[in-house]
Amino acid sequence: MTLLDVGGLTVTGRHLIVDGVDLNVSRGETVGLVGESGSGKSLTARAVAGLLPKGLTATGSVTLSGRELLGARERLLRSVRGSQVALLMQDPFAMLNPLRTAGAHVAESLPRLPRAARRAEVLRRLAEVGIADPSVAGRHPFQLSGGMRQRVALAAALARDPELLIADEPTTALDATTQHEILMLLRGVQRARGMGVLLITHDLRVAFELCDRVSVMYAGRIVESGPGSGVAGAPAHPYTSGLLAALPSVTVTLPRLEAVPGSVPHAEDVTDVCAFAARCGQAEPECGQARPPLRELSPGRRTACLYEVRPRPRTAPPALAPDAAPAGGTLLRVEELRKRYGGHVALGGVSLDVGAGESVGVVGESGSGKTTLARCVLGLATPDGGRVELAGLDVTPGARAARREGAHRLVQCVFQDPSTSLNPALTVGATLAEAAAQGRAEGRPSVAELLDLVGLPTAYASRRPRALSGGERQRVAIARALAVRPALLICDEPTASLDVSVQAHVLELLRTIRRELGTALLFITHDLAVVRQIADRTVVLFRGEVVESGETARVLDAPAHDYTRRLLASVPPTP
Amino acid sequence: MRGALVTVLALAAVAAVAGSWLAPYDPAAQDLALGAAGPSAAHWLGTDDLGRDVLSRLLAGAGSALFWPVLVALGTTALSTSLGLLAGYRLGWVDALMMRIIDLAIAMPGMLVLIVVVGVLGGGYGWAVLAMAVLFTPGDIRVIRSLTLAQRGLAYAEAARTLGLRPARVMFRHLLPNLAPTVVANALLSFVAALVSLAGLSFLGIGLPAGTPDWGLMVEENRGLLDLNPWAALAPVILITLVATAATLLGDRLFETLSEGGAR
Repeated sequence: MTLLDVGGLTVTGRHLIVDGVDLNVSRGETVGLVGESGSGKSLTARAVAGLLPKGLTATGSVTLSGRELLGARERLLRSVRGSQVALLMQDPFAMLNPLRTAGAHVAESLPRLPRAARRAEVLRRLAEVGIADPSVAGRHPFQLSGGMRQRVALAAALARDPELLIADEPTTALDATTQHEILMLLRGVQRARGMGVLLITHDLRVAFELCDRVSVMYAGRIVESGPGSGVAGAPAHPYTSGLLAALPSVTVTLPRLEAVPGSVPHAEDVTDVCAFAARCGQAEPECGQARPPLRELSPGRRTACLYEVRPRPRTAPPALAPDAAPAGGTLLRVEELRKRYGGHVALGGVSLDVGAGESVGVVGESGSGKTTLARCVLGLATPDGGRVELAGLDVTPGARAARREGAHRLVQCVFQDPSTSLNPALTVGATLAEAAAQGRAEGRPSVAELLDLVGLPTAYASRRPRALSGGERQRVAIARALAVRPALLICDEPTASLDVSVQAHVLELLRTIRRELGTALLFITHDLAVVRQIADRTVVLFRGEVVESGETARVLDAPAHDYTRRLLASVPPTP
Repeated sequence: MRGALVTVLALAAVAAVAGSWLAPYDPAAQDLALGAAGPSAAHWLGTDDLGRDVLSRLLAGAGSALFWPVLVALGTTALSTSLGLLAGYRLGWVDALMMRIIDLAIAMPGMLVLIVVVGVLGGGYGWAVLAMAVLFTPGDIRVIRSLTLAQRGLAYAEAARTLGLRPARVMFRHLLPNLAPTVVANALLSFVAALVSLAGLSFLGIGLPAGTPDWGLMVEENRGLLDLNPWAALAPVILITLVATAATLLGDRLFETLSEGGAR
C-alpha cells in the first residue's frame, strides 16, 4: 500500500533545483534517494515534509496516505509532521536542543501521559533505539557521543509513531563503526514497526545495504530507479555506472580509479536534454535533442537513458602490486609522540616511520589522534613529549633545539575541508605564486606548471576559490602544497568532504604525483577503502595509540587487532 | 537605496571640503538688523540672532563636523585592526596582556573621560579626537581578535603557516582581507559615534571656542531661537542625523555585500 506518493515534484528558487521528481514509498519499505551534492535530493525531502527554506517554492503533488500536502495549510502540515512524517537530520548535534536533556526531547513528542507512565515510556523509547542505560535520559546533548545523539534524535523522531520516516544523511557525520550501528538500528526499527523510510544519502554503499528500492538523482531529476540489488548489479544509466566504478574498493587495490569527468550541471540548463550527456562516455546526438523519458525496463525498474549501458570493463587483473617499493631511507621518524588536551589524551606515545617515496596510511576514527599527529609533524601543534625527525633533522615543535626553518620545504599538507582550504580573498594564481616563492629558487615551478600538474586549465589562475567546485579546490590545495617540492605530503582526509566521482579523481591524482615526483605520502583517513587504494603501509590508530601497523594488504586482509576487525566489519559491502 | 546613501555622504563630503567656498555669505558676517529672521530668498535657512546666514554657517561648519570624525574612524580602525590581529594571531602572553588592558579601558565611562580630558587640556578638538580613538579602540580590538581567532584555525590559514610564511604576511595578506567586511562596517560605526559624540561635546560647550561655525555648537547657540527661526537649530540637527544614519546604513550594506563576495 502506497504511503507517500510524490508526483512531478518541482522545486524552484532563483533557479530550477528539482525538476519533476516521481517517487513513492509504501508501508514497511525503505526507499533510498541517492545523489551527489547539488542533485537536489535534500530539497526533495524537505519539500515532502513541507519544510522548504524561504524563497523556494514547490509544485507538483505530494500525497501522504491520500492527503495532498503540497500547498496545504500550515495547520494541516503541523498535524501531519511528527505523527505521520518524522525527520531525522544529518547533524545530531544541531538537531537536539543543547539546553534540554535527552529524555526531554523524547517526552516532548509523546502523547499525553501521566507523569510516572511518561517517564517509563521515555525509557522504553530510548531502549528501542538501543539506549539501555536509564541515566542517559537525564543527560544533555553535549554529554553524549555522536552516535548516542543520533539515537536520541531517532527516538524523538519516532515518539509519535510516524508512518513515514525521512532520514536525511543520518550517518554522514558519524564514525564508520557508529555509522554501521545506526544503519542497522534504523533497519531494525523499520522492520519492527513496519513503517516506511525515505533515506537520503550520497553513499551508494549505504543505500544498497539498507534500501529495498533505490532512486538515483542527478541535476534535479531521477535518472534511474529500481530494486537495490538490481541497480547495484546492473546499472541501467551511465551515471550510476560511473558512480559505481568510482567507488574505491576495500578488498582490492584498483590499478586505476575511474572518475566521472566534468561536474554536475544546473537543473535549468539541461531541462530539454539528457542531463548527463555532457559527461557521458556513450552519448549520441539524440541525447542532446530531447529529454529522455524515465522509461520502464521491467516492472519497477526505470532508466532515463535511451541506450543500453555498456558494462564498464571492471579491470580484470585486480590485485595490483603496490607501487614500486621505496628506495631511500627514512624520511619521517615520529618517536613516542604525546599530546594531551586537558583530560583527553590525543596522542599516547605514537611512533611511526615514513620512508622516502613511501605512502603510509593512518586510519582511525574521530578522536583517535590522527589529525593531532599531522599537526605535530607540521609544527601547528606542540607535542607534550616525543620527537619528530624529518630527513634527519629534529623538527619537534617547541623543543629548544628545534630548527624548523627548512621544515616547510620538507613537509606540506592538504587539509580536509575544501570550503576553507583556500583563502577566499586571493585568486588561485596568487595563492600558488606565493607558495612557490617559499620554495628554493632553482627549479621553482610556475603557476601554469602547477595548475598543469593537477590537471587544471591555466585560465584558472585568475579565478577565486568560490568559482571552483570542491574537487577543483582540493586540486589547487594539492598544487599549493607541491609548490615547494616537499619530500613528504601529509593528506588529512583530503577527500572526506568530496563526492565519490570527485574523490576518485583526487585519489588518482595523488597516486600519479607520488609515482612521478616521488613524493612520500602520509595519508590520514577514516575510510579503509581509500587507504587500500593509496597506501603501501597502514597504521591503525585507536584512542591515541598505534594498535596495528603493516603492509596495507596484510592489515586489511588479515587484521590482527580487534579494533581493525571491527572497522572492517563496518564497511558496507562494495557492490 | 545604496545610491541615496552614497549621495548623502558624497554631498556631505563636498560640503566638508568646499563648504567655505560654496557659502553664499561670510559665515562670520553679522547683520544685526536681520537678527533671527526666518527663511527668505536671500537667506534660505534664515539667520541666527546675530544675523549670520545659517546656510553659510552650516556649509562652513561641515569641515570640522566631518573631518574630525573621519580622523577618529581612521585612527581607531588602523589601531584596532592591527592590535586585534596581533592578539588573535599571536595569542599567549601578548594576547593576555592586551586583553587585560582592554578590560580596564572598557570599564572607563567614555563621555565622562572625554569631558574631563577636553575640559582640563582645552583647546580645540585635537585632544578630544585622541581620547576618542583611545576610547573606541578597545571594543573594536575585541571584535577583530575574535574574528581572527576564528579565521586562524581555518585550513587556508594553517596552510599559510605550513608554508613558512612570516607572521605579518599571514596576518595582513591572508587573514585581513577576510575580516574586511567587519573592518569596513566598524570604521563607519566609529565615524558615526565620533560624529555624534563631538557634536555632543560642542553642544556642552567643550572643545571649540564660541562663535566657531560648527554643527554641534550651532544647535547649542541657536536653541533659544526655536520660536523665531527654528531652522537655525533644527538644520544642524537634521544634518547630523542624516549623515549618521546614512553612514550606519551604508556600513550595514557594505558588510553584506563584502561578506557575500569575499568570504564564504
